[in-house]
Amino acid sequence: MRNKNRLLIAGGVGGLLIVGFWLFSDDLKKTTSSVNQNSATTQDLQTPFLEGTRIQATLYLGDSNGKFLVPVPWDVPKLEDITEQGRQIVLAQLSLDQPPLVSVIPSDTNLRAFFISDNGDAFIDLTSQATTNHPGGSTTELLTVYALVNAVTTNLATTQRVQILIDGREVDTLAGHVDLRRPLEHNVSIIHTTDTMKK
Amino acid sequence: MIHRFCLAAFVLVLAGLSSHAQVNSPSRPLTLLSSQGRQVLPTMLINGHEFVSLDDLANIFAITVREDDLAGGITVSYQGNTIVLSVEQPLASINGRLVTLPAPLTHLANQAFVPIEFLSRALTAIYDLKIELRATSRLLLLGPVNVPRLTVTFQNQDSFTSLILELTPAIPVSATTDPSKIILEVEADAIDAELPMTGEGLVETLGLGNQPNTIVIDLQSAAGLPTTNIADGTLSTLVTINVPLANANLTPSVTPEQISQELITPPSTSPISITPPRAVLQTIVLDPGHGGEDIGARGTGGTLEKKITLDIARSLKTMVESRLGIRVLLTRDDDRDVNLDERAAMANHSKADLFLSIHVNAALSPALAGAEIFYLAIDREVEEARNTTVAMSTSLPVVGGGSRSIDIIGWEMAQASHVENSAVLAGILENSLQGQIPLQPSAVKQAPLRVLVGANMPAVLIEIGYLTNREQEQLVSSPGFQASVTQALFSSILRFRQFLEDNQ
Repeated sequence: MRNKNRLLIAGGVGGLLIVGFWLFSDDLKKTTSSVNQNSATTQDLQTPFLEGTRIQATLYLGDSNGKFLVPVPWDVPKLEDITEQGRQIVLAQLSLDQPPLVSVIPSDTNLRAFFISDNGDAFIDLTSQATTNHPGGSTTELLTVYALVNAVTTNLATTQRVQILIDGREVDTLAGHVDLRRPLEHNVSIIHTTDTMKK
Repeated sequence: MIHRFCLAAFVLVLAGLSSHAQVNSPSRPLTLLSSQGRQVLPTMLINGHEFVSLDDLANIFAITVREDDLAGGITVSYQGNTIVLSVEQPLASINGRLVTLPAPLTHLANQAFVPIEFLSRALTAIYDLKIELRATSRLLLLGPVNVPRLTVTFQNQDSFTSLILELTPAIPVSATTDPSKIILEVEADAIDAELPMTGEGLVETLGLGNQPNTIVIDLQSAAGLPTTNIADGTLSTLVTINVPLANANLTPSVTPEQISQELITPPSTSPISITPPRAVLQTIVLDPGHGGEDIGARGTGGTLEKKITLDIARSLKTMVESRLGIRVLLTRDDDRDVNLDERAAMANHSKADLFLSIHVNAALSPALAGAEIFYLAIDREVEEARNTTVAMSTSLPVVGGGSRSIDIIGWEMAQASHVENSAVLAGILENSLQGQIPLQPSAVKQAPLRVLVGANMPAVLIEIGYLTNREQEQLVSSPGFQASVTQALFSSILRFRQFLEDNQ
């Protein structure tokens, strides 16, 4: 009888420990996700959230003349949460490089945060290198902006508009030309589809 | 402070110039105008730029000029402040702050010469009186002198020529009329205008009279007795002269009452009934892209976008003002950073009829070349708002009594209502540039460009070429290319004016 009671107590304590650990680990996951959102770098691209499950996204590079965007199919981790999915797509877009196509993202630009507002507009918060390292010119600035906008609007079906922030703030432009004070819509005129890169 | 200057010495200097000195010729001298009178300041054309002798400036402005052998330049001092000039770079360092000049310091026949812009960009910063260069009228203003800017507009009809002279700022004017000429006396020290000027219709010529503050308007022999109206506005004085054909019994096309009404209480409901036939293109704002710390694009050879854009804007301003008599304002006339909203706001405040932003492009590939023209792309939200929003208006009092009706337009909506005319302007620019300079295929594009959003008039942004293309970098820096661009932009302005007149 005493042994039976001891077993029941031990089982109860064990159950409480398991439940406690599960609750704690869930909080930990949420906390980690939150921290990552604020300090993410392109290194995070190497860490799939659901191992082995990936989707093929359409990302964008500049053509060899630096005049148009070229769609590039690219595998990214598949995620249940749409915000996390968008974040992975932007991280992939920032680090994408496929010669002879050219990256249109200024060097050393990192993602600070990605979030989606209640009305469905997505916000890409970049580090200041997106501005300070930008070579300038309307054409290149349009490529930079719409590579990011189109990457999100093409792959997240519910997102129609994207606004780019720098260091957490709204900015006028990246390099003096393209208006970034408002969310921008998908732009097909800047895409050169006949040059689509085969993976 | 101002000493007499010896013209003979200057002529001797010119005579002693060596044959390899690349001197084109002495150019038309500047007139230095101050409260103490007038003085001639000789200038020289060297490699396409106008220069003045530092010796002359030392005599006139009591500045100290010292050769700096160590640095290979010259130091100009005045009351403890210094400007350092380099023979290598078109720059002046004013107490450590850099400003650009069109050309570097030049030595000829043991004399140092600086571009005339040195006066208004550098010397003025250390001098105790403001120095202002009015290139159109060849005037150099020193301190508080009264020199209004004159713009001239002609309106020709079958039996009439209406001549509208706008003097800015507003200033008292009196007129004397006889059958063959009109003499306007302006209460000013001089008039900023490129005169004489050939007239149109029944007006033969406009020129300065015996005094620098008088304007003489000679009429054709077929002209009848003209009528003159002078109306003072808050910002400018309008002189309207109606010249009928001799023996024609016609109502003047612009009545004095109409002009007064325009200046004090512009109509808000029925503009056709009481508004004078306003010229469709009275003011143009040119926007040299970037400036100051914002250098814009940089070529591999070091060419800066901000400098090229300013050079072209200045040339175009001179050409349009001198040939068309249209007022042209620059959003910046020196190397400084101007906020993008301020650029559009300046155009709005000056009621500009056209806004042209001038840029030089950059690409990720060194191969990309050719000019492009952008007008604003408006998104669905603005498009919907444009179709549904009813413009609000309010009445505001004006100085001198009366009121004027002001339309209130949201900043984001300002360009939206002009986007069709902006597209026309972009097309005209593409046509005018064709054959003059390399163009991108399908050179006209739409994009959400920040500087165009708030402009409440037809507005475009032109990228004249690519600084990242080595060949184009050399091209855009060359005077010949810049002259071609300026001429093409000038032609575009003429053709756009014609379009506006045809669709008035």
